[in-house]
Amino acid sequence: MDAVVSGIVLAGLYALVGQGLVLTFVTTRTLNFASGELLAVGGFLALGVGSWSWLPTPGKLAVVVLVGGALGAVVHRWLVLPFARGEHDSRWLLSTVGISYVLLNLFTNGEGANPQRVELTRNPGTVEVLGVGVNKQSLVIAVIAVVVTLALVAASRWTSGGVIMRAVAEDPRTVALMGISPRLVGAVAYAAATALAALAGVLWASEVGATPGLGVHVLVSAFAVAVIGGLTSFWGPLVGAVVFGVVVQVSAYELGALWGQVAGLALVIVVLVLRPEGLVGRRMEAKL
Amino acid sequence: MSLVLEKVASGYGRLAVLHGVDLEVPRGEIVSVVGANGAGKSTLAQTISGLLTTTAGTITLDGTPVHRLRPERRARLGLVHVPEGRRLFGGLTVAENVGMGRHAARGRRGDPDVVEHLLDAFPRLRERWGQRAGLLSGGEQQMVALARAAASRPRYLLLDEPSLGLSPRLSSEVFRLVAMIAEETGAGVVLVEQRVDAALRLATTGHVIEHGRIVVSGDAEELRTSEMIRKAYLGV
Repeated sequence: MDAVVSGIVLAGLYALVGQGLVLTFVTTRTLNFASGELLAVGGFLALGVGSWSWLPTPGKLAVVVLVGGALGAVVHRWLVLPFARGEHDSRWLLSTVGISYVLLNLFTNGEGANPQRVELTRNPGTVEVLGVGVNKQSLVIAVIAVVVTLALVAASRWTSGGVIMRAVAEDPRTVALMGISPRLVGAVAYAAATALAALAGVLWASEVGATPGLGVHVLVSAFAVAVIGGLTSFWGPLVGAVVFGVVVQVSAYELGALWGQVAGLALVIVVLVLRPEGLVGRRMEAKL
Repeated sequence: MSLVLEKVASGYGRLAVLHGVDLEVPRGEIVSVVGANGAGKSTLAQTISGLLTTTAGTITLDGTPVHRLRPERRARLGLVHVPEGRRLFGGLTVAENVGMGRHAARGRRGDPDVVEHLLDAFPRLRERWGQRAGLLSGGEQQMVALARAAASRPRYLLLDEPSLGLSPRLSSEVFRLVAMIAEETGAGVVLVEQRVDAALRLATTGHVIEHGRIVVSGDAEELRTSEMIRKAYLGV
């Protein structure tokens, strides 16, 4: 029971970053493999704006999220668009992985590898959930992940932006014929995805401290979570995160820490074999 | 005011398909472009709307050069393309599909909106309003495509094989609605069709396209009744 509850709670972080992956995949069929380092950017930005005593905490958070979003748009414009010129062009994979290494090394040179304490959005201590002591910060992250998921699901169903996004997912060329720039939709999706990564970075760095490698493992797990749940549905990361979190924690608890991650990634392979669209993902709509 | 193509060339990558097409479409008039399969009809429509790049020549819309603009910019200027195969968003409802069309009309609220009239003329769409477009029959889907185009408040309407896959009865229904849209919006219409007879009946001017060139142009009624042209170019 301990392992199940802590697994579910820990999964919030992965779900949050996984939502970003779904956002860009649905709209552009690309993924930002620098999301992990942009998460670290969020952590260091939190460190930077943390000293602005004139700005209240929500304002500081807003700055981090907005800067993160702007960086996402930059990544889309300069590292994705030029390298995703058609279905068979997957150079974006190399360009985003490339910038991720560049950022990782820049941070390591500039900031050193030791964790730096981040005070913004710190929630120390534990609370009891179903009789299990749970880290407060992890619980906050999990709640935010659920709220973000519900917001994205609602937006995609009931807002005109959501309708545009679903249309782009089906057929970007025809969306252009409706007077809407598919490139702009992609840029917005990248911005939103990176804003989420930056937010996750702040929250996570407040827990474990800001390090250059803050996002490396998070991205791997977020990717696993998004694949398990399905890259084509906003429910995907949340469902995937719960399944992944529980499997990892229970395996770690029963078999030892090493086996936790192994079981999680084995689960990815099993899902890819049995249900490539993910647990709640949809197969791509047939073009009309 | 008209849509004018001058010596327009285009194609797919290195494969040239159109070789210097001249075409003039005045507002309020229906111009049909007919020809055999592979003559370049769809290529022409896609080049005008910007899905394909114009490699030579010019396209002007009421005097504004548009051949270097992205397709979304051309749509915003009122150049509305109903692509071959309709290309509805199958996962979206009929209402959402028509709503997508409205985006192209932003900034042109003064242009007439005939969506309501179209729905009156084809009431079945109202019954299907909340259903996913992918579940509709071919005829209903074509009507949704027309309604979506009408929602864009077209100044010029490009129709690529609107009768494709439809029964003769449904085709004539589609043609009737096309004529209605043209009349009520005052849009110029480029109708690209394989159903030569029906297309030329609807149009005032007709053009025959062959191997990416316009080979014959003239009064639609004369083309339609000319035995020589039917035999030489259209194989009907």
